[in-house]
Amino acid sequence: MSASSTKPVVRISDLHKSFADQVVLDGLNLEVQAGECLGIMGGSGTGKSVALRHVIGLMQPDSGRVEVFGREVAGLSANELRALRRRVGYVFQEGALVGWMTVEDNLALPLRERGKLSEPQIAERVAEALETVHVVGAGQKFPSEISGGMKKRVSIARALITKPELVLYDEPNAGLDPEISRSINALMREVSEKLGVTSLVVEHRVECLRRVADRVLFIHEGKALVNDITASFFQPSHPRLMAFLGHEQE
Amino acid sequence: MTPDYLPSWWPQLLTVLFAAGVAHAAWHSAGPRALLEEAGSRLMLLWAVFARLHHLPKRRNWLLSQVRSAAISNLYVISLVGVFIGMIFALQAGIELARFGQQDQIGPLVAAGIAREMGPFITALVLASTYGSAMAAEMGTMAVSDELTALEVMSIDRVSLLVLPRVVALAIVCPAMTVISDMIGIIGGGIVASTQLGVGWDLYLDSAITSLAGLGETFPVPKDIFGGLFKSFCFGIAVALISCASGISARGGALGVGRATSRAVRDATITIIVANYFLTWMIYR
Repeated sequence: MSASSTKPVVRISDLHKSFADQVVLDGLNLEVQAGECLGIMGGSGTGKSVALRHVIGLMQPDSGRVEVFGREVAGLSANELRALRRRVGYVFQEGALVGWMTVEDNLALPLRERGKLSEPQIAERVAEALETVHVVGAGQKFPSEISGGMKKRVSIARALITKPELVLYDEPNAGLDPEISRSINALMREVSEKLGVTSLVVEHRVECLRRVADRVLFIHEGKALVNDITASFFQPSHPRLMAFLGHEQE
Repeated sequence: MTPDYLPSWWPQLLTVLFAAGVAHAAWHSAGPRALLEEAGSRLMLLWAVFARLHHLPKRRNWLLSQVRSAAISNLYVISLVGVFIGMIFALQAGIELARFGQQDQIGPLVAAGIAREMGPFITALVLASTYGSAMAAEMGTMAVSDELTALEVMSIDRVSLLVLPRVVALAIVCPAMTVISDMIGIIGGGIVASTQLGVGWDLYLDSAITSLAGLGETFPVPKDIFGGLFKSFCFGIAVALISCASGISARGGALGVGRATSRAVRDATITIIVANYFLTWMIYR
């Protein structure tokens, strides 16, 4: 997928964030162009998920700017933030499906809350979403009755059902075996190509980013250390990235 | 009756000292800032619930489901506790009345005691320890597994979706269960009165019902019954609100959910006891 040269969908400039004495982000910069899939890679605790949470307004920066669709997230009112979030889908690490609702109700929830569609239209959209993520026949089950891979698929379906312009994935391969991870990666790629949505994927598994990302950014000590197109990223020359990926230095 | 050597305002003084003692203990156990923050967040949540009452028609399915599960899962506990409370109350009071040959008065005494005090109080405590703790655990689990964050990210109003139906459900269920608890308690008292105090069923029931029929001065309704139900209504709201607020603020996995649940039961119990005093003072003084 090619990145356009128009205004970026997400722009993070000099983002700083600390928790007590621990500096997590220390001047992070990144941009995601419309239609592009950017992967964010880095070790545990390097602030990948924290960066993602700033994009959706779940966290406020200590300093720096986070702009989404050209608007600074920190400066938005509650109503403006709600409006922005309606244009964004978020896939949580553990799925975060509502446990006391069936799969169908989980998918229908954001549509029902918006109140713009009738029940038959919602049912149609739910069936369509389940088909897109290849989970047919599990609509009446509760999240506790389906496997981890299916939960992740349903979570992706829930993020996509409102037809967002930007989808944020927080470690979509976490807790999945290699076979299911491959199928989730294929699904993410399929969704990205078919629907043309902009994606931001936080992941530390090489296979996932190699498969789904157009470009990959490596975070180290709170900063973007390497930012390159996927093919070049996995042929690194930076010693820190080489060490992270397990490449031997010449 | 105030003894001569005490000023007429001593009950008010006692109330203020009691409230100050509770506040002092809470202040030192939780820390002033945490205490104020918690109290503030619960008041804000109460306000948020009131501001969303017009969402109720949209939430009727969740509301009915909450009412059903709160009522059905607690009916047998409240019935069992109610009958024994009535029996204990009748036995304790009856033994004393019998010493003065006044055991015929057991009906009005048991009826008033249960309708005014024990029915609402015990029902609220049972609901706090069973349904309130379950509610806090459910919300806490949602909080630690990112489900609440997911709702926020989807711009779904979680107060409207989760808290409103639960608060309204307990505001309905608590008085309804109190009516059942009152009736069963009075029957329990009647069993003791007829089998151990030698008071006939007819006399017991007639005198109990007659005493409960007395109308209030401000509102022309049976004061003992409606006073108790009003208390119950307030307790129901308090239990649901405290349980939801504790659950929502849970952090840190299973341990956090456990802490939130025990905090919910502890705070609901304290609130019921303290609020009971002030409501009694307001209704019956």
